[in-house]
Amino acid sequence: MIVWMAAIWAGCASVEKALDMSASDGPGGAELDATANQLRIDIIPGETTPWLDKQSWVADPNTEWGELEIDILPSVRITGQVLGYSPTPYGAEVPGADQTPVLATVALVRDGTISGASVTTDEAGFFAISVPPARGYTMTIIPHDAETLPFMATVNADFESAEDLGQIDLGYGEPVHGVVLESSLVPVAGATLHLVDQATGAIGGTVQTDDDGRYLLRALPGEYTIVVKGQAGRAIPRLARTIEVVDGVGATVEFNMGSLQTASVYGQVVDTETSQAIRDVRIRFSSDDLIDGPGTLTIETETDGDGIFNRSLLPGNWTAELIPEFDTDWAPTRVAFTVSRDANNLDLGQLQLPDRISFSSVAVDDASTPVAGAAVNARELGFDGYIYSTTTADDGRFVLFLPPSPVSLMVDPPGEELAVTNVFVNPAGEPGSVLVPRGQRVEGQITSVGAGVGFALIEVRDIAGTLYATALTDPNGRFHLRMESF
Amino acid sequence: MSRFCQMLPRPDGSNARFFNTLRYWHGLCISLLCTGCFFWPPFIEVQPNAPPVIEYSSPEADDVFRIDTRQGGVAWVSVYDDDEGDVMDYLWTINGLGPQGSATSFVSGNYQGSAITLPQDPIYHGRVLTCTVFDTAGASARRTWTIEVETGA
Repeated sequence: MIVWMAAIWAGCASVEKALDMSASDGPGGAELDATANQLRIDIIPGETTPWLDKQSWVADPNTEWGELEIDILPSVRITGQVLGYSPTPYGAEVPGADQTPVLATVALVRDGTISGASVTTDEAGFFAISVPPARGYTMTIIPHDAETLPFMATVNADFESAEDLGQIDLGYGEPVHGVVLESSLVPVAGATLHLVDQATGAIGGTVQTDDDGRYLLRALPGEYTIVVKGQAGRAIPRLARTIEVVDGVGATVEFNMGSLQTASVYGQVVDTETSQAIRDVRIRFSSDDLIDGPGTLTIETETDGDGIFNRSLLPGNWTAELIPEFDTDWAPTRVAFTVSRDANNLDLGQLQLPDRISFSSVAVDDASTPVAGAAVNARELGFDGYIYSTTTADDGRFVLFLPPSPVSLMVDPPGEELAVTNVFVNPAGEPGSVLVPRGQRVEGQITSVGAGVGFALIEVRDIAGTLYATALTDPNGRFHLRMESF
Repeated sequence: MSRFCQMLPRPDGSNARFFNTLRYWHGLCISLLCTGCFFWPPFIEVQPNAPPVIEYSSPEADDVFRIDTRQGGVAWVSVYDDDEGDVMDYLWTINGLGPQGSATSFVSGNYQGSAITLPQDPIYHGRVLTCTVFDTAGASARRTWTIEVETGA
């Protein structure tokens, strides 16, 4: 049998992780370390344990992967009340002195994990949020009115038991204001702006520029990134700038978007072989560089019943991703083009979508024995990351209809002998076999208050979210899987 | 030949199809015997297909699928099918948005299933997520959930 390695890109996408580990103390596993190459186990309990919430357990360098004992706890309830200051009764754009309840979104997220939740406060500013007990939560409070109230983010919050946070006062904050102009002169109305807290990555609420291109946000003193962009579908590029909000002063930021003179870009999407018009194809335009101004812009549209699209774009170099619906026989593709400064319109003509191609392969173990009954998932690289799935037959063979471009292939074998395998393949390349190694055994038990958590989904991922293996716990909460060496 | 056929029970009521099949089978076998072809084809009883059953899921059937963190939300089903070797196809759809392309299938011991991850995008709010499982014979089972997205300000 020809073992197909030529079409396997860069060999196995093996997970290079340290292995000799011992279980960590504390709910949620180890502390998160942005510099470490940590793995996490996501646990999504099923209907047999509805009192448990989804949560992640983070491994540390001492974790013993051969016998994991993960005890998960019912969620704890965190309560509180959010207060702030309302504008004066005269409608002036300054905060008043009256402390009032605030309508806000309260989120508790353990970054790099799936643990957490978010809720909206009620009319009296109260909130109650249930999260799995763990350390290292980031708590954000984002008022829905970003013009008059600052947002707040707190890092390294530990919630290991129920807690009432009492009254949380957002304070006045400092004004962040300015104007958005086109060609340094013409006000841009309807542009949206928001702040990103550099220390926590928390994203504040959005405001829009008025008819004079002016905007007002409020923020607590600190360092932020201020981002301006158009509303969905508008040809206003995205610009970001780092600012410092000074106590007692605030910040003033003026944006010059350059020229926003657009050209009408149109065309038709057709089948490569039959020239049949294709409807409902999503077209995502991304600027590589804009000729008359700074920033970047991504804008989407769809083809109509005749396969035709039309969208206003700024002068510059662009890439268009043509993405057909998931359940069609067409594959996505890319087209690069330039909108010149003087153009009023640009006809891209007929853009052809290629057909998906039949990709046939066979899964074998290291003794060249076919691997039957394995789940096979092929994920597109880029575009929308569509996943195409099938199962290997008794002879280990499988057939998928894939785009003629590289995909990430995950082979999930049944039984306890072989490892979940991740490889990159090019469906347009030479066919061959996919080697499924024995790998490293990972097994353990998920328990909660002394009882096994049956029928929970287990996903092994890294902190960036890349999926390496999936399993389901048995009625006693036990699970076992094999992964490539990590 | 005709006498032999007369010896067979007459087709009637709910057994008509079975007796007709049996008569044609005997007729075929005897015809082959008469022409010197000593082949007696086996009489194969076809087992009815057992449809797939969604045993477990998260969220529970007809519950709310809440997406309230930046990591998105995960929904999954595990499937049981009496027919050994039956291969499952999973179709995840959202009303108004059509089939979804972000689901993976898995096998785990005696269980198989599919999981989908949806991002925290307001476009999903209020829509209905459906997972339909098809076996090789086309029999199916499904579960639905209403999606709630907590998007914040």
